[in-house]
Order: sequence, then structure tokens, then C-alpha cells
Amino acid sequence: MHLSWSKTFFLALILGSALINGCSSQDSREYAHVVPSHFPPMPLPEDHSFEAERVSLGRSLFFERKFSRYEDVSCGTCHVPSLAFTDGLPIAKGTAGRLGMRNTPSLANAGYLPVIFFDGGVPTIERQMIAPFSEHAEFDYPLDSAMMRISEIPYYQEAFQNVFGTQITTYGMSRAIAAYLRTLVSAESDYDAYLKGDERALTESQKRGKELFFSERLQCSSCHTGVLLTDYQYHHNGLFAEGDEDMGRGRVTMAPEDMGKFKTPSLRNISRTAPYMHDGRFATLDEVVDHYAKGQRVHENQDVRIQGFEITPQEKAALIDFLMALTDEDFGND
Amino acid sequence: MKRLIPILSIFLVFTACEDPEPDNPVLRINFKLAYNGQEINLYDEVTDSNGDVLKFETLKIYASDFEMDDKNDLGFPDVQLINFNSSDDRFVELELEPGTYSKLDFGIGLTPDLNATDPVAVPDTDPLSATQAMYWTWASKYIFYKIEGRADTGNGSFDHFFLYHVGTDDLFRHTQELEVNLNLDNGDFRTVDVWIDLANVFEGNGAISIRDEPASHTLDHYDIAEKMADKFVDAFVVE
Repeated sequence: MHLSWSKTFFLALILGSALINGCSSQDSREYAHVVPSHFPPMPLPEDHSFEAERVSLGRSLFFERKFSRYEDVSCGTCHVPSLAFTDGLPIAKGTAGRLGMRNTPSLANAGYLPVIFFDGGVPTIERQMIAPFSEHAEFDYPLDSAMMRISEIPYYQEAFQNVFGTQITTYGMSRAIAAYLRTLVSAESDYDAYLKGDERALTESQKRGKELFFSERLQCSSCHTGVLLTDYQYHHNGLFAEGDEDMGRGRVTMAPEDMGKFKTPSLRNISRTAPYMHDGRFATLDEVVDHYAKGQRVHENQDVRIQGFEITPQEKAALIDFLMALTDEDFGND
Repeated sequence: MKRLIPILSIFLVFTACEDPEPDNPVLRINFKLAYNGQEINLYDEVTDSNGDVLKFETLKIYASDFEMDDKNDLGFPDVQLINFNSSDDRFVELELEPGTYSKLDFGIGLTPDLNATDPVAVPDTDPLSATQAMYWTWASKYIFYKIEGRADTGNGSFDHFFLYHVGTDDLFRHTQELEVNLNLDNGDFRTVDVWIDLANVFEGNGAISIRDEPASHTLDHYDIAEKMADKFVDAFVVE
């Protein structure tokens, strides 16, 4: 095959352009998302992408107040970055200050959640996105009306076209927000440094607290297990007696054996996520430890491991010291 | 390119010679609202046998699993959202084979397969889209139907609210077999009116009492939802 000089030049130009575009596409479009070496692989659905513009769009949607009836709250109102994406309140507040149902869970490492909510009623982050719209004490605004509202904002029109090649859609909204949430990886605490081999990352008190945390006597780690410090299972932890309001997992399954059970939360960043428990009843970690130390049996579904334990004031201080070491100081500082 | 022309010509000739598909007959089912045999619209006032004045304000129903004489493999939609709060969504069209049909029935709600649909994975125009506001996110299930309204129970004010949101696989029901008696030929377009007579739910034996059983989101008052599921079957009639 013989090509003239002009044809050769033209082909080279196209090839070179394609290569340059390909490289720049890789460099500029992919979000710099790295799963820490001591974390398990993050499960990702097939249509997930960490493309920068998708994540950025998801972040904008996450903080968009136009989604709520009175344009006064967004996802980020309850999930405040500086509080490890919680809100510091016992019970979340939605539009017009309406009191919700439960304490706001942290979104740290949300990409690892096998199910969403304390009761596990939602199977994916993508699907969770639609929940606040229909909830009276969250956005309380129809999803289609909310989409109409943001369609008046040129940024969203352009971003959806660029990322999804469509107008604003539920599909796109859910995928963009999910992409952003999966970037909320928290893995830079002193405990992480210790896990990666830095023996000096924990103080002596924290090391004693760690021993207690993983001990047979206290059994904290039998539920708060693994590097993510949760088993993602449902347990009745003795907070509720018979006849109390919140059915927990039982609300989803209606099974008697699930009544009053709640999914174990991760303890990462726990110094920032007070108050504690699904109803925010404990203001301090002191109170939390006291509850488990007491171990009073109040419900037939109560986890058998919650039987109470003896703990000295020094041990309690060390345990809480260890819990402080689970704080990732850089997390949420974007 | 020149060599392609004869090939393309032959392809076009063969394509052109294929018989056109005959136009299958189409049956349009119009859904109409009634109370005690009288046609009503949402927000009309109707008086029940207790003397209470009712105003129905929301009626949205999923219909699925359509069957004509026990056949369901023709041009039937998987699901239709019958929405009386929208003037455009009160009918469904079924494409049929020519022939004689005597019975129509369909599911009130969603089959378990449809109930497992991901509402954020379908287009926003789909009946199962999250934009239809017929999904319980917390339970990952669809609301099969919503019946909402207000009643004046004697004090001159419509201050007694009633609300029935019924769902879950266990409460999926089929209509009774509705007699239609149709003889359809190719090209036919016929209509059948299916009436939803709410008096069959709120009046008579085993009726839902708007006064005593005013609300159910299914799982909070499952007994009422189950009763509603059973009674709602009686509401669908063909005159």
C-alpha cells in the first residue's frame, strides 16, 4: 500500500489527535479516587463511574436546597461534612424544622454499605436518593417538581448533558449522587496509621483501650468488627423494652424476631458523630459505655452478648481514648 | 460502490415484497370512577349510607398482568398506572389477535416481579419511575394504589381525613373475570368501560369504615390494608 505524503500527514494528525485526546480524557475525566490499601475493594455497580464531572454534579445535587419544599434543607443539611456527615442532633430535622424519625447516620465509607438506613430497607445508595423527597420530615417535595426546579438552572442542564447525555433525569441524579457518596472514604485516622504498621500512632492509653475493645470481656468488636468497624448486621442492643415505638428492622420485614433491631453503625469518626444510637439518646461516649456495662436485659430480641461487664474508670478512659483514635482529621474538609 | 448497487437493489426488492403486518385489533379499556352506580370525578361530594359526605381526592392504581380469556402473551403492556389525578392516564390499550373474547381480568397492583423493579433504573416516563410517587423507598416496594380523601361526618366541615396506601406482594389481587363479549377483526379499535365503584368498598357487608378505619400505609395497619385489598376487587365492574 502506498500513501501519498499528504495522506500520510493527515492520518498521522488524526492518530496523534486521538492519542492526545485519549490521554487527556483519562487524566481529566477520571476522579482521583483511591481505595486505601488496608480497606477491602469497594463494591461498585456496573454503571458507576468516578468521572470527575459526575462526582462534581453529585456533590452539587447533595447540597441543593431547591429539592426541599421550602428550599431550606439539602442532603448536606443533615449530613454535614465537618461532623463526618452527621448533624449533631439526636433526631434529624427536615424542611420547616420538622422532626424526623432517627439520628442521622454518618456517610463515612458509604460506598461499603451493603444496605442503607438503620433498618436496611434500601438496597443501594442509588435508590436511597429518592427517599427524602416523599418524607414529610425531610424534603417533602415531589421528585418531579424538584427536577423541574433545578432544570431552570443552566449549570444542571449542561452538567447532565455532559455526564449522561440527557436532560435531568432520576437515573442521572441517583448515579451522580451515588458517585459523590462513594468518594467519601475515611481511612486516615491514627488507628489506620497503626494498622499500616506505625506502632507509635496510638498512645499507650489508646493501645490499652484497643485491647479492651477487642477483648472477650467487653465484646465491642464482635459487632464493630473488621477494618470498617461494623458487621452491617442487625442487633437489638437493649435500648428498647417491649412496646416501644421504633420497630427497626422489623419495620421492613414485619418479622417478630427483627423487632427493635438496628444495623450496626461503623465507629469511625465517632468523636464527631454524637449524639449516639439510632435515636440519639446518648450525648457522650461515657453514657454509651455505661449502657453496655449495665447490660440489663429488656427485650426478648436483645442480643445475647449484651450482658453487662465490669469496667474500672481507668479502663473506661482508655477505651474512650481508643475510640478517639478512630477520627480521620482530614475527612470532610473538602 | 457500483458492485453494491445490485445487492442493495435486491435487498430493497425483497424487503418491499414482504406482506405488511396486518393491523391487529386493539381494545381500549377506559377506567371510570363511580359511587353507587353514578359516575363521579375526584372532589365531587357523595353521601354514603351513614350520611357522611365524602370527597375522594386522590386515586392512583397500578394495573398489571392483563388477561383476555386467560391469554396474556399478545401486545399487552406489563403495567399501567391508572391515575385519576391526571386526565391523560385513565386508559390502557391491549393489542389482540382477531377472534372472540368474553372475559377480561387484570392484577390490581403489581406482580412480584414488577414490584421488585428499581425505580431509579427506569426512564422517568415509565409507570414504575420514582417520579410517579408510588414507591416506598424505606421498604423498597411499590404502593399498589392510593385512595385518599376527606369526609364531613356531620359537623359541616371536611375535616375527617382518610388515606389508604396498599402494597406488598401478599396484597396483590386480581379483579374478578369481567364480561366483555367482543368479536374482533383486524383493524378493529374497540373500547370497554371498566368502572371503579368505590361504594363497593365503603358500603355494605365487610365495608371499610371511613370513620373507624380511616388510614393504612399497609404495614402500620395491615389488617385494614388486607381488608381493603379484598374489598377493592369488588370495585371493578363492567356494565
